[in-house]
Amino acid sequence: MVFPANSTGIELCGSDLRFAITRSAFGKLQLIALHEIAGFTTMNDLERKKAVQALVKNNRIPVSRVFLALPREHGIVRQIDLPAELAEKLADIVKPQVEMLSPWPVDEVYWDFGFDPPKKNRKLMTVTIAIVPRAFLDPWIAFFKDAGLPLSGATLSSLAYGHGVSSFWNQSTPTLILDREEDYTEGVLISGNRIAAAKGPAEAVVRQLLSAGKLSSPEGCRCIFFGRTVDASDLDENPRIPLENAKPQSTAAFGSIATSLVALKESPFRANLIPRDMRYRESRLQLVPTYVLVFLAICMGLALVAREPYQNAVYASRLDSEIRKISPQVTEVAGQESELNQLSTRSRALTQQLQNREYNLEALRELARVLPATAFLSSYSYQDGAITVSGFAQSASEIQNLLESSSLFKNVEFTSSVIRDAGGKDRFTLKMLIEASQ
Amino acid sequence: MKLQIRNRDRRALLFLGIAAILYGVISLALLPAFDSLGEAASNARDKEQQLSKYRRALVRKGHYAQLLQQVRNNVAAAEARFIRGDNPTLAAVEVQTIVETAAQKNGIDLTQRNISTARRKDDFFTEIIMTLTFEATSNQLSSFLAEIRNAPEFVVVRNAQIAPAEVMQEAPKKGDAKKMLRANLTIAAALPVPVRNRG
Repeated sequence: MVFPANSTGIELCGSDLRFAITRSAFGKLQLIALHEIAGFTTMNDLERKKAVQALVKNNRIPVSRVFLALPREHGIVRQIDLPAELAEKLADIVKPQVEMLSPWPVDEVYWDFGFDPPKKNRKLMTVTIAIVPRAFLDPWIAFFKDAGLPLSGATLSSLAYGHGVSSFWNQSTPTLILDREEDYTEGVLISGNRIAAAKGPAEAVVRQLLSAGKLSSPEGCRCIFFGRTVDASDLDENPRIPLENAKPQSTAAFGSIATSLVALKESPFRANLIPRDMRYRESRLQLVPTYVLVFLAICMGLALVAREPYQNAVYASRLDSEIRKISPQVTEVAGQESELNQLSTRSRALTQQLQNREYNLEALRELARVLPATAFLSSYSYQDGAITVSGFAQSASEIQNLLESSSLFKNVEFTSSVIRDAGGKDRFTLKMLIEASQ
Repeated sequence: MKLQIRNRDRRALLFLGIAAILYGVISLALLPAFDSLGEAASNARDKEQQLSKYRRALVRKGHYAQLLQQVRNNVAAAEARFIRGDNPTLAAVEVQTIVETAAQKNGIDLTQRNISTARRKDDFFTEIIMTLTFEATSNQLSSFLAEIRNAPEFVVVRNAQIAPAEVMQEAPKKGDAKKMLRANLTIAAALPVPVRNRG
């Protein structure tokens, strides 16, 4: 069973009622709890009911799968061998066998059978048939229903033990189980698909079982002892039940544990004596709201995690669409901006060019104004805002001073040495810049 | 050897299959989708900034239109002061006409003149250079220079070399000195490069 499932096994054993709750989850079996109502058979119906209800309430015993193991002597168990090829029609074949085997009229019994699915190399298969009178089982079905523990199934104690052994160990080693109560000892020997049971004094039971199993001694058998007369130290010698959370003392409740496994495991001894239409079953549909809520919770969690990024994605998408909408206008503006930049640059260049004027007229006029009548120019040169003049004067330094004092010229300097000629005049060459051109 | 698959093995295989499918779905679909959603925040911020920039640009739309018109007018007005540059040959002729008209007005005989072809000066202008040599009185020269400066189209004297035809060292004892000047001028005309239409 993959999904978790709880099962409650109840064994009516001696004067006590023993409970075991097990859980199967992802293929693993786990023992959840063990309970007992001591002296159950000595109580009247009302006390029994109250005791069961109190136990269920106080211990929150799961009620979805409840299986009851009745004392072996309240029914009969028979095994028959049938050809393996009849496996598919087994129900039709077993029914006439029940009519033959049952000491009670068929209409007054509940019956079921278990079998090991035939293997390919085996020609025969063993079918285990359990029969119980309705008159014995019906009151228990009604009682447990009334007590709030409706039964999903019922079996006989010997079959429950066989089912437990087969579920736990599934080996060919013979297993001897002795339930030693104050009044009696019930023994069961399980060897492969075969089961033998006996009740009576302990020694007689063991002898009978060894004889039935064709064994000379219990040596080599897996032996499990439990019951009211078995000490706790004896329980420690029992093989440990391969069940999670099971302790050595848990074998004291082997019967109820094995009964609880009827709902969870398959075995050749698995038989449910309660007819299908009378079995209590919780509808799986009732889990639908749970699954839906779990699914919704997961969706809600995912939505919470994804909400912010998703909203951002939606927001980004809306921004994107808005950007796309105004993008043509922005492209137009960008074009205008680019054109404006180009035109501005061109305008600046044109203006700069227009302002790039020459000052020859002003320079010539200023030279004529400032130079003394005794000074004569032999050349005038203008290039890129720089003016060079050569000439003769009484004093070259005076000329330099006069030009430097002019508001039009600046940086007036000689470019070559001043030479005084034979006539007593200085021959000079001066270079200057136009003040306004800078 | 016969392969026997038990219930336990079948369950294990089922779990393996489910785990593989979950791994595939998570690593190939869910995590990449979640990662891409995780980038949405920074993506949204980028787009917010872009949209804000675009909206600011839209506000300037009307203003740009006005500015453009204004600058176009300015450019057109400035360009009207220059010789048109779309046909360099005609431009050269126009430069010569301006110079010759100015010389003629002032009674100057141009003894030598030379005009270059239009050459690219920068991104906005080509330039035609004209060199000329002539002799003139100082009045003629100054009038010529004034004519050039006040020409309807923009031309400028780039270089000038002026020297008296006869060098004097002192004033004549009698009468006015006849001052003839020999001038060698380089006149440049800037031609705006025509704007190419886009597209």
